[in-house]
Amino acid sequence: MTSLRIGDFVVRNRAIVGAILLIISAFFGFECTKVVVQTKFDDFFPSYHHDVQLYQEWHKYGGAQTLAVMVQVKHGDIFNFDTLEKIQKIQRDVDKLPGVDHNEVLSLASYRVSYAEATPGSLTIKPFMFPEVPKDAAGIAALKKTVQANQSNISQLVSSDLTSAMVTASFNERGLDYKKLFYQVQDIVKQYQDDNNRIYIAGEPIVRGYGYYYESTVLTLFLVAVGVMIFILWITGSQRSRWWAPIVTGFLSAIWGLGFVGLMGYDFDPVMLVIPFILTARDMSHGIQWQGRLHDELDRLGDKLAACAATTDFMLPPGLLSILADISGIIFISFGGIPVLQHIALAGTVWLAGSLTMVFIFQPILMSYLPTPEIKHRKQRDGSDARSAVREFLDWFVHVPTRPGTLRKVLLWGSCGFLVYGVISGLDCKIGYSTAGTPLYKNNSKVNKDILAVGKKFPLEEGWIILTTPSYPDKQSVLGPDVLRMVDDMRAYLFEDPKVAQVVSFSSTVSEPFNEMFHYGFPKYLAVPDSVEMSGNLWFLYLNGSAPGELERFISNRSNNDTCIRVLLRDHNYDTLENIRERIKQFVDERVSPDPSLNKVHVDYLAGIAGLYLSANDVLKQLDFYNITFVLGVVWVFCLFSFRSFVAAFMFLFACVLANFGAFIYMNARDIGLTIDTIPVISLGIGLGVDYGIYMVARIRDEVMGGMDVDDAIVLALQSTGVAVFNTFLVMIGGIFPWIFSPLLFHNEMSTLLIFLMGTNMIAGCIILPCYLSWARPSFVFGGRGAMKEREKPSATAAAS
Amino acid sequence: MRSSKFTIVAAAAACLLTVAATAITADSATEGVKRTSAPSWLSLFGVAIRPDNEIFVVGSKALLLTSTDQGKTWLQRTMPERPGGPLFQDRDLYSIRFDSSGKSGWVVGEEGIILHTADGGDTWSLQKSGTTKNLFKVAVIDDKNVVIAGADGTILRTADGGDTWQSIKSPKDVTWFDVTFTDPQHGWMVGEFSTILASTDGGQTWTVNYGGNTGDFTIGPFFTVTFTDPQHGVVAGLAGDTAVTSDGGKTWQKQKLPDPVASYVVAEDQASKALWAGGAGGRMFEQAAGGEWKPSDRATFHDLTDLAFAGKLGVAVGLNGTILLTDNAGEQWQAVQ
Repeated sequence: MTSLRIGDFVVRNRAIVGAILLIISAFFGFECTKVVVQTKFDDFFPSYHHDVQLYQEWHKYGGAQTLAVMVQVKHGDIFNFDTLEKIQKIQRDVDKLPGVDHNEVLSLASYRVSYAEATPGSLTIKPFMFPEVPKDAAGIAALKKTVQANQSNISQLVSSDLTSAMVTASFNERGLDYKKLFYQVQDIVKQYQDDNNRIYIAGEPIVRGYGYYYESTVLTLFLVAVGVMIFILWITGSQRSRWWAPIVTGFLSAIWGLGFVGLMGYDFDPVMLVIPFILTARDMSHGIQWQGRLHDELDRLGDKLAACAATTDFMLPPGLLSILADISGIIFISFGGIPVLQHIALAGTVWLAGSLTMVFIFQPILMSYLPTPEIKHRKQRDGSDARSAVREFLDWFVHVPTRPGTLRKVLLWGSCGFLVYGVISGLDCKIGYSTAGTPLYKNNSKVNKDILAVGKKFPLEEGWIILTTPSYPDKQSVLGPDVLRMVDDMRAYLFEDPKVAQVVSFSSTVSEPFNEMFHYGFPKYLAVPDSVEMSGNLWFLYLNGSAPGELERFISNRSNNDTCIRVLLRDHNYDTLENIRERIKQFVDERVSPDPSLNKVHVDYLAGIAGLYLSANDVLKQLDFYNITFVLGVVWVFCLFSFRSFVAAFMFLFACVLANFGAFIYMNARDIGLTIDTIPVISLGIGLGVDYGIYMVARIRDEVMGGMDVDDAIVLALQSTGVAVFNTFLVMIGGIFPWIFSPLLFHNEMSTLLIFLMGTNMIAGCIILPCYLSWARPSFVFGGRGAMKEREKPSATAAAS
Repeated sequence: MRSSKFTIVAAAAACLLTVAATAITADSATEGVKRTSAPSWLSLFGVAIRPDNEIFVVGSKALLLTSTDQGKTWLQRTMPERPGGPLFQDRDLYSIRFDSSGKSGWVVGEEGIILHTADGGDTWSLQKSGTTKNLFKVAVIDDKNVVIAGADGTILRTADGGDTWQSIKSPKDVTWFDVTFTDPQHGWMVGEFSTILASTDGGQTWTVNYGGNTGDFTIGPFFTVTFTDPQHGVVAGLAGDTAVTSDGGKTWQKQKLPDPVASYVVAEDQASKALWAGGAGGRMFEQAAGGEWKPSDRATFHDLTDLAFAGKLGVAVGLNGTILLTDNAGEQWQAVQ
């Protein structure tokens, strides 16, 4: 590597350069105070995607702020006084929650939840269980019969097996205090749950609320992770008196990164905490490498300032290369248009740029002002059997790449096989989430267990199909019989998909039942009204009999020119979402488009939470492909220029694919899909992991160019750089390992995947690449073909003689 | 050598047979979808049992379900009721009846749909009804004479097997829900305002036999009528209202079912001579010959819309894909899941 001669400049102007860097750090430090720590649900989805825009455009059809409290009995059904009274009390308590929309608190005990009864000459509408819970067995039995007879009308509040009842509520989004709400809902659970009545809670306010519930656990993990990093740093560098210097550089680059987050007004999302940790750990790793070289230079030059300048000159080029690789690993994830990934990409880039500046510019300045560091030589202990066994193992280990034979062949061929398997796994990799519940938390977490329990009885995943039409009384308005009939046809068509649990539309939920009731409850009138006038009358009848805002769940305005069809799905798996979208498309193509009586009707899909997940899935597959291609391209170009060799460039490409496509093997084995949390990890993994190989190969090449034999250089590199690489590996693992125990699935998946990737990258960099160099002896390690031929001459002459 | 040639020929023949069998299976499979129950998102409105015990059920979205094994498995088909692809076949079919031979049959439904089969239900063709009113019930007198009751005073009749349908003048402009014939000449029809019509000329003319006070909106409708013989008949409607005659309609006595629920169908189990009523909330009532109405154990909570019996086999259908079966003349009804 060529030195840039920047070290002298930095050391000569250390006061002014140091002051500038501290001023910038102070500025970013001030900006850090503006950082808002919160999770924004919308930020997880690509803002430009049609489905996300559709969701935002039709937000009036329901925000995500819905609470679901399910009472489930262990024995019998809900039709006993105790359970019914609990439902009523929960309904009343939910109605008192902060920010609740009182018009949208619904349960069996609500006065808004009613049924119609046709009697000669009249149509009577009665609430199921309002104002009082029936007290005697006969009253309860009558209620049960009424509920059973009206099961389809009340299926979202009482499960078909009658073991579960739901209390649902919507909240006004502005100024909602999630923490307070969460703990008040927990109080309701505590108050009413008993041996027979289990209470499960779900909904976005609860998912968010759990963030506060786990606050102390996450804070503890944060402190443990910091502690572990510092401990490992101390263990690996305590013989040096300035072992703590990397903490300073790490801290300052964190200030740059966080300051940028504050400056840009991004939210600091605690679920993404693993990324800052890996960046800080990476920063410290560079710091460790730098410190190691400083001590080497001190030994060589004996002068502190000269050693600082020389270390900067030696370490900046590979450091620059590896940090640029790190940046390339993170910057391309911004291309998907998913705000949270864009924020990570840009803030991460600034963070890494901060690392480059702090480790390679500020660190020499800091060290130049501090007293000359010393090496505290540890006492050599008597060699025990165990120690000598370890030493023997390490001695054997460092010679593995240079020893021709079965083991090396197995390693090289095995790595080829692993690479092929990895690529196949990459092509097969699933997209999206494969389990129900929120992806923020683990499957076995309380919140997901609750969501799963609720989802079994009442489907929660909702996709919206939006119809825009001419206004009433046009025959093609949403009240037009042809439109209502088409919607009903769509409902029946979607139901053929077993993943569709329910389809809720004005047509099937309001218009047809009201048409039936208007005609004596005669079942053959459970059909689309036969004229637009009759349809309008039924709409008016419903509007007058329903609570304010109830109609707006189906039709957003009084012009009746748009409507929302809600498709309730059993899960949000990739296949489920893809199939439902395909099914809707097929229906529109075959039923709506060819029908001249619907030529003014526009069908748009898929909004709602299912549409958001679908949008993420769409982007992630493309993003993953482009991202990996770009990162690998950048690695290839950097290595080509650094080592001035196509062989080297392809060798690193091979190593990257080998190490990082292994992630897909791991993901497939653990049933993890490509998601917003795994994409940045895979991407970062390539950038971070390739450093190991770069450091190793650079050292080998330096030694070979210095005249050493290739095999000797490999052994030396493993004994020196290999140890440093292992130390950096330990620091990075130490920083991310504690997050495995986080209750947040994001933390868990990111950390396990990163640890796996760091491991495969270390194996690729420290074993597979040296094996290849020893076996193939490419010319670039000699400094080019000319230098290689020059080296071969004496050995050929010696062989001839 | 000879044996190897034989083997080759036998193998080729086996292959051909397999291909042919597959083709036949595939062909029949294209005619419908096999199921073990009806789609729960569709409504079932009409049921008929042919003399050979094949069950026919019609319902919403042009649905036709047939079963040749007494309801264990079903073949789902979509009736071709209007131009366009399968997704356009979306009218509700309300009633199905066959003639005594089981060869000729009619299905009527929403917006004036009439479908006819002359081959026992294998193929169906549209007939021109001349109306867009909903046709709720069809009564087949024989393979030529058929009468249909429908919405807003619609009465249709054919005397030529459906080649031409004649609109019959309704004495009242009310919706007719049910029609039945006790013999080729004597027919009964019921509808809104507890109106009962009678015909003594095979359905060519109808006169008000009972009710018909269209000015009194407190009078509920009769949804169903059945006669066990020319003298004995029963009609039923809202809130447990029934009326019976034992003198061929000269007088009607009002009665109440044990529970005040609507009945949408009353049918006779000819084997036991018991009457069965089915209606709102899946409620069923049985009246043994000459006895009182008694509630039957409830096997569903969905509205029942039609009932049919053949020997000890009984089938009831209703909303939400409900099919109830009995193979012991109603001692026990079981829902098809």
